[in-house]
Order: sequence, then C-alpha cells, then structure tokens
Amino acid sequence: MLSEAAARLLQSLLVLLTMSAVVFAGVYLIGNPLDMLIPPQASELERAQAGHALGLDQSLITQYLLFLQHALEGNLGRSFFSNSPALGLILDRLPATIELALSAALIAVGLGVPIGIGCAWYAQRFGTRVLLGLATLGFSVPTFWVGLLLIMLFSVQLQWLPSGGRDASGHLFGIATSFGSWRGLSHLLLPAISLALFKLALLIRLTYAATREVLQQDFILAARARGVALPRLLGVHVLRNIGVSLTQVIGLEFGALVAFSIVTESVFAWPGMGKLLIDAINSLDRPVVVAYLLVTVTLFTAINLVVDLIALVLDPRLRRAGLQ
Amino acid sequence: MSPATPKTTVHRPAIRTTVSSPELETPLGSSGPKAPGHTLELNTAISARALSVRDLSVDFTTAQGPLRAIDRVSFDLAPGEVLALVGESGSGKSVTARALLGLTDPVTQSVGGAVLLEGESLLPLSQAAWRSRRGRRIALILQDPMTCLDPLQTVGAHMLEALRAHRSIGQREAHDIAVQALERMGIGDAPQRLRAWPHQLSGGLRQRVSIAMALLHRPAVIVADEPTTALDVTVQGQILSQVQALARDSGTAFLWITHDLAIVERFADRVAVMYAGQIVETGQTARVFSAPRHPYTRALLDCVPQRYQPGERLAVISGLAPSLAGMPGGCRFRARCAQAQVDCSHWAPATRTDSDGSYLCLHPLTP
Repeated sequence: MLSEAAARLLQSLLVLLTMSAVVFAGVYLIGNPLDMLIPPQASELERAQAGHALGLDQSLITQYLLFLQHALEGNLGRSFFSNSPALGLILDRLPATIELALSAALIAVGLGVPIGIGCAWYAQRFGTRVLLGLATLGFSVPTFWVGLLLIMLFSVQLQWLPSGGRDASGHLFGIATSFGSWRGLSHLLLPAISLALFKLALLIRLTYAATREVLQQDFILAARARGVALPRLLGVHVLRNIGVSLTQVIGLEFGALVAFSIVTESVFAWPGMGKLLIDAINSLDRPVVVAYLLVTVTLFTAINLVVDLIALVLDPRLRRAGLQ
Repeated sequence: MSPATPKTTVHRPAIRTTVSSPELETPLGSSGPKAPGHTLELNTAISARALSVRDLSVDFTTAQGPLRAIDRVSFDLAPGEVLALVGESGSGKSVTARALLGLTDPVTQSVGGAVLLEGESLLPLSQAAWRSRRGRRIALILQDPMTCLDPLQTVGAHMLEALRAHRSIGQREAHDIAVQALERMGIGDAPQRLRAWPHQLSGGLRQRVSIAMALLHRPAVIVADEPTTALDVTVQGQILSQVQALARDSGTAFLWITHDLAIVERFADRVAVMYAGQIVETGQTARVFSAPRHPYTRALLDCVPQRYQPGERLAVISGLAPSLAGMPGGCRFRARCAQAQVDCSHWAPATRTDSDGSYLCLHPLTP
C-alpha cells in the first residue's frame, strides 16, 4: 500500500509540473506584458530595456525554467500594482476562503450523507419524496439568489446575523479565525449556508442513488439475516461501500468550493481569494492571476491525492489492483 | 386481503392469520370441519418442531392491486431434519425464505399466515424482536458466494459482527470462536483466513464462511437458498456432507431450497415441491422420487438428465409457469399437465394430507 501511495504522490507532482507549464504558457506567452506595463508612446530603446529588465528577451525555455526556479523558491512574482509578492497576497486571503469552503462542506456532508442514506432506506415513504423534491429544487436555484434571500431574511428583516464581512478576531488553537468567536461564526453562517445549499442537494441525491444500489446487494440481505442491527447496517456496511465514490465527489466539490466561491464571496463581501482574483483580472495584474492559478492547481492536486489515498484505505480491492 | 379462490373452501375453509393477530390458537383453532384425510396436526406438540409454517401467504402490492406470490404454504421441520423445497425459478422459493426471516419489504409485500419457530409465532413480533431471532434462532444462507459477503470487510470482521449481533463478547473470545467455526467447516489455516478479504477467497471458501456464520449461534433452523448452485460439483459434495454432519450433531433443521434434484435425492429427508406459489406435494424423499403423486413432481423428475441413457431425448415440461398477474382459476398446473381433465379448470384442488405426505391435485398419479 505504501508503494501505491508513493506512486500517487509522483503522479501528483507530474500533474503540478504540467500545469505550471500550461499556466506559464497561458499567461506569459499570450500577449506581451510590455504592452500593458509601458506607455504606448515609449521609444524602442525603452521597450528593449524594460524587456531586458523583466527577462523577456531570453528564450522561451530559459524564461520557463527561470519561472519554475522562482516558483520552487516560493516566488511567483510581484503584483504589478501593490508591488508586494503575489503569492503572499493569495496566502493572506487563503484562510478566509478555506474557512468558508470548510464550513460549507461540513454542512453539506454532515446533513447530505445521513439524509441521503435515510431517504434510500425509507425509499417508499412520502417524506422521502418531499426531501428528494426539495433537493432537486436545491440545485435548480442560483447560489447568488439564495445568498440575497438569506441576507434579506436574516440580516434585513430579522436582523439576527450580519449581512457581510468577516471577523477573525477570535483565536482557535492560536490561529486567528472565524471559528474562534461567536461574532466570527455569526459572520460565517450565512455565506456558508448559501454556499452549502447546492452541494447539500447534490450530496443528498448522490448518496440516495449510491445507497439504493448498495441496499440491493446480497451482502446487505445476508447481514440483516445475521441479525445485524440497522445502525450498524447503514453506518458500517452501507457507508463504507458508498464511501469510495462519495469521497471522490466530495473531494472535487471541495476543490470547487475553494476555487470557485467567487460569487458568494462577492455577495457577502467575504475577503477571500475569489474577490482578489476578480480584482486582479479587472486590473490585468498577471502575477496575481498566475499565483492564484498555481495555488488552485496545487490545492486540487492535493485534494485528489488525499481522495485517492482514502479510496485505498476504504477498498482493499484497489490495493490489489495497484500492485498488479 | 386474501384473494383466495372461493372454490378451495369446498374442501377446506381458508385459514387466515394476519400479522396483527397475537394469538395463534384462535385462527388455527377455528379452522372448522376438515375434509377426511386432511390434518394440520395441530394437536401434536407444535413446540417440539423446529419450524412450523401454516398458510403462509405473501402478497405483492402493485399499482394494479395485490398479487399473491406465495399462496397458503404449510410445512413442518423437525429438529435435525433436512427438508428440500424444490421448484422452478419464479415459483416463490426465495420469497418464502425471506418471509420466514421477516426480510420482506414491509411496504410492498404483506405476509399472512403463521410461522412458528420453536413454538413461538414470529409474524406478530416487532422489528427489534425479529432481529434478535435472525441469525440466532433462524439463519439464512444465500445462493451466490461472490456477493453475499461485504467486499470491504474482512472475514474476521464479518464473524465478529455476527457474534456481537447477539451477545456481548470480547475480541479474543470472538476470535477463538470464529477460528473454531471455520475449522468445523473444514477451512484450514483459519486464523489466516480471518484476516483475508472476501475477494481473496474462492467461491467455495466464501460459501463455507457463510455457512460457518449461519451455524455460529447453533440456530434451530437454517434456511439455505440454493447455497451450492454456484459451486462446482466436488466442492458442492464436500460442503453438503459437512452440513449434513453438522446438522445431525447440532440438531439444526435445514430448509434447503434448490432446483437440483440430484442433491435432493442424496441429501434431503423430505421434499416439498413448489409450483406457482403453492406447495403441490410433500413427502419422504424416497417416496416422492419413487412414486410421485403430483403430475408436476413427475414432470420435474423426468427432467433430470441423470435418469436418461446417452442419446435418449430429454423430456421438457412444455409451456411456462403462469405469471402472478395472470394466475388461472382451477388447478394452476393444468395448462402444462398431461393428466389434466375437464374439472381441473373448474375446481381448485385443496391440499390433502395423509401418512405419505400431502398433495394438491384433483387427479393424483397414485392416490
């Protein structure tokens, strides 16, 4: 099993290398950064000097290798506008985004998986049809609209929760985070719910379908015939058997939560990476965009690695397949 | 609830025990005058039997109304006895097995009649009470060894779970019991096997594990739903003789569901033949094989290839078994029966019981 884990890790590194090339090509080779940095009335000499200062006069390969070397040293360039390191800008915003994504994922998984399993076990009940109908509705309504509705109800009408912003004044395990104080949590709740709703609906339907399939298996009937009680039947046999496919979906969806929660962050004025990216794109701040893309790619690769490892732990048959 | 054809009441009033009736004596006792030769043997001590099934019916709820999959099935099992339940696919054998363990779907299937396990009526039991008897007093072995173990649990985890379902037991003690149980089923290197995953075992080994688990709590009854059909013949023979010896030693009764008549002849004490949801004949194995009374039993026996010389043309039962939705009135086998007469389509036969067993036919081959 260790050798398979090592193989997965190597794969991940290869993916990262490939992606760095794609990002480099995408952002540095399409269009000339000088056009944006240097005023159009500048002379040819000035252009050449600026190009030389930025290393743009060197060959493609050299440029890429330099980029790679700097990236490995944690240097992804400086923001054209604030002149601070691009990676630092991203990493400053990362905790807020991770916080929001984690809360949304916890809500979606914590509610979605049990509800999905319950719906599958009580598939014939009326309540099940209502829940599944609501789930379908859940991924039919747009996230920003849900966010606005939540603000209208809980912030404007009831005035229970703040309508936006983040409060990380509280500390948890020595880290400044929204989880550290009630005020922090109250700011987090609405964006997290609004972000979780779609994933919750998705997980309910997915868990329901996967559980229905597992419940028809002979080993479930055999376990029931041995007198295995319902909590163990669903909590051990069903959960582990739907676990492999579920963790794959949850992993991908978590990555999506981190990388693409831009809309929700805008609606709730949440100071996350998404908002930074929008600002960077609007101002053509390329190093920040590159840093964002590379951080996102790394995150996705890491999540996929973890998902693969979880699958190896859950399903012994994958271990054998990996050895052959 | 019971769409029994009224014609049967000519011979015997339909007995209905619903799941909700707590007292068994009332409905069975009110069965009224019986036709001569027909006995339900109610007076003999029912508790001495491992299992008594009386008028077990299973109805499937469909959009078109209820469909009766099992129609008033009755049989008894003595301790240590092997009763073979034979019949074609779709005749209701597996549904019977599930109904006996209370594993039918409560929403889409309704069960009527009475099931007495060691004298205790099971159908009125609560779900929790049912569960505490499943695996402990009545166990089930399924057909396909490839699918009846959870692929993500080790053999040891399965056995520990089976033990802990009915008694609180420490890890070490459970391990010892599990090793013994596997060794009793002829599995060598048992401690090693406990750590194995199901996909690492052959079909024969997996089925032995299933049987070992079924025997763990020394149940009164084991319902075996074609447990050796998916295995090759040599493994089949070994497992059968082991099970036979274990049954003899522990007094466990087997309801052996199969369509392999060669196994039945060697292995079963008695036979019950099922057709279209009804038991059409019961009797001692030797008697049923040598002198079947029901034309369907006769036809089934004629289909056994071993009974033919090489080159001889094999017999088939022409036609198909009726579907649940299109169950004919009168005798259900008549459309395929060589002996059918005019009255077979007008009168539904009632079960007649005597010292040689029972049959469900207006014109038995040997009365």
